[in-house]
Amino acid sequence: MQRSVKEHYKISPFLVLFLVHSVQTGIKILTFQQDVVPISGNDSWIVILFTALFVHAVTWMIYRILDRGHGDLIAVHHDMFGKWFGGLLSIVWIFYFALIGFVVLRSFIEVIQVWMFPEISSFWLSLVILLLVYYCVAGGFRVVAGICFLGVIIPSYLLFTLFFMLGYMDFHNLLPVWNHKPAEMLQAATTMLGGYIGFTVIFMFYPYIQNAKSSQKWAHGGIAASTFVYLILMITAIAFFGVNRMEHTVWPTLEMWKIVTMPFVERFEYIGISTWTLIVLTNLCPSFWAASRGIRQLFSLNQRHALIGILIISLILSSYINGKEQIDALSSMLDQMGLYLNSLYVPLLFILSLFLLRRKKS
Amino acid sequence: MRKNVMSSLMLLLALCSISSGCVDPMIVDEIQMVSALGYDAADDGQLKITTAVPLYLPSKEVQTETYTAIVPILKSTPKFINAESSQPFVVGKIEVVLISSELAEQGVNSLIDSLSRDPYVGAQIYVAIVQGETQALLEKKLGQNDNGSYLSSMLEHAVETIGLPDTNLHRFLYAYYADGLDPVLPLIQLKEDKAAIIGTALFKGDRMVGHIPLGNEMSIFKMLLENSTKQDTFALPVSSSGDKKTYASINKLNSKRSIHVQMQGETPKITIYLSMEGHVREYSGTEKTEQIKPNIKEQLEQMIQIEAEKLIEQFQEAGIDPLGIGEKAKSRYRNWNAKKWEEQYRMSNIAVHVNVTITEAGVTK
Repeated sequence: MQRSVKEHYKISPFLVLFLVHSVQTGIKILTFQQDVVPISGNDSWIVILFTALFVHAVTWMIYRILDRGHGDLIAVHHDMFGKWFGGLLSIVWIFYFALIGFVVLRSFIEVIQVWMFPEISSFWLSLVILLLVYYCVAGGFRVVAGICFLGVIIPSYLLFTLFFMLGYMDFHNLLPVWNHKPAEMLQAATTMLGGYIGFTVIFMFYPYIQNAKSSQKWAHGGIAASTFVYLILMITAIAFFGVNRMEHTVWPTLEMWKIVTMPFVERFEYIGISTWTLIVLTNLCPSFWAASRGIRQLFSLNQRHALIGILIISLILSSYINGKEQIDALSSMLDQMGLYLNSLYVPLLFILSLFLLRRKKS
Repeated sequence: MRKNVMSSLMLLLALCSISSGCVDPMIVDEIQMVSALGYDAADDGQLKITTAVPLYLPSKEVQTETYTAIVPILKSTPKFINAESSQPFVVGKIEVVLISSELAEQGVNSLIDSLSRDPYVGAQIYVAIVQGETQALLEKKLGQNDNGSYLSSMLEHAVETIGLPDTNLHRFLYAYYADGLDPVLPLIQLKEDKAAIIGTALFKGDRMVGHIPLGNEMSIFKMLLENSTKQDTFALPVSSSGDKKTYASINKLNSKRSIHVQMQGETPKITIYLSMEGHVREYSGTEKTEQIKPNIKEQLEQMIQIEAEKLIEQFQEAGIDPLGIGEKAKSRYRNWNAKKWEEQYRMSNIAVHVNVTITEAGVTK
């Protein structure tokens, strides 16, 4: 197990902002409104703020655990729970990281199949995307961080398309503020957490950050950036569609682009979805990197071989999973897993680390 | 390492070219780009669908070709219509969808559903109701351009200048799904060889229940409906001292509207404020404009108020709410209830306040 990383493989602390932000905003950002709005209606934007607070708290705990430990999550598990039980817990997390990548991949292919090319085969499309992922991840973590940086900067122009919707927005739809029960808000917040999962890759890339302790503020910055984007898109969508119609749309963020018409392009979705490939890539690379890094740490395998294994399994599975129901089932499985890992496991690990890790140190 | 990366890059390029071959190509010259769709009722509850496709002739003229099919369910249209055509149809360029008033009275939900479900159909397309048959309208040569783009530019122009409310597929769907708001659509008729806008069709849910005819009434309706409106004209009969009837034509520059809802126990009290700025463009009397200006202002205010209150009374009687008063009330009151509101709306007391400012009167005194 490798506990420290050579200095020239490390990244600047500020890149953590881009890593965290880009791994959070991927495919869920296209659909999160219609998951949350049926539960909490016009108050959904408040729900986002609550969820963001919670995610900030979890991030704080992650940093406390890692600051105390020696190395990444796999090392922490090893130190706290020993080789066998710690290894078992690590396998759960490795599976979780790989699942994030896989769900994003398959959901994005679904978007392409519904919005652009109904006949395109999932297998070939996955192959092309996964080869690109291999190319990035095999280049090492610095390349992954670089891709995440560009994957935030380049597609950010998409936010300007919101101006096209201004004429159709009625902000009365947001009123009256807070007319839902706290229980409904809580349920909506657990759903909203699905939009934030992925930031736990911090557990894996922590040793790769120069001056890692100082990067915590950038991680919080990344979460704040995601919250900002989610908030804008939620408010826009509620004002644009109204609460009732949201329940009849599948991809509210994409559906809003139907109104965008420019003199040189009749339908903007084609440009938008093509640009989205880059955003999806910044979801796939960190999560597949984290999974393969985990395998390398746990089983002392070559990381590149582990990566190839994960990618081939993803490739095969992605052509076996078909239709909206299966993809939805898979993605709700990921959401459940993310909910338990983020809101139960991480706090538990944090509390245990206060006792178990200190003893190791002394 | 370096070699590894290069070879995977080459493989990637090769695969890109293979996988791009997986999708059927669509070449502009080899497809039929539908520009307008028409829905009519056929016998036994079936539908008659007319598609209009622009045909670009070598002489640079544009003609419209139409294909009509009678189908049991909407989505099977491509099959029936493709049976008549040498090239496949695509719907990505639809500009106008026409629905016959006969169908609209039975409900348009199933027709609109197939449009909103289709990712290739934009949200900015026009949907209009046709009094009579859509097939007959689409088969006429309406203008220099093909019928789809002709109708869409006609509607666009009408929204800007003759007081047609601004509608499109998105606005229709928004109003259809919203609580306390009913949709409206433009109403068109074939008059001799020309398509003409004759009013605004009113809906209750997805059923057409009546219409507002073109003229002062529709202009006032637009002012009540939209937060702010621009260009429009009013013809106003002015009673002057003599017994000769005189008319003034007023050019509206802009108008603003705000709706205030107040709950007095169970009955809501609703006040709509309209303010408008205009120019006098024509006056058939003999007095100087300075003398007649206050008179015109007063009578225009009165006319707008009476017409507006008459329209609102009609809406309350029919139980429809195209102005979205229910939606406004919903955003103000926490215990708003859609079922209860229906009754409250009917009982509610709606007043209209109008404020007209006449700024100029042309270059004649």
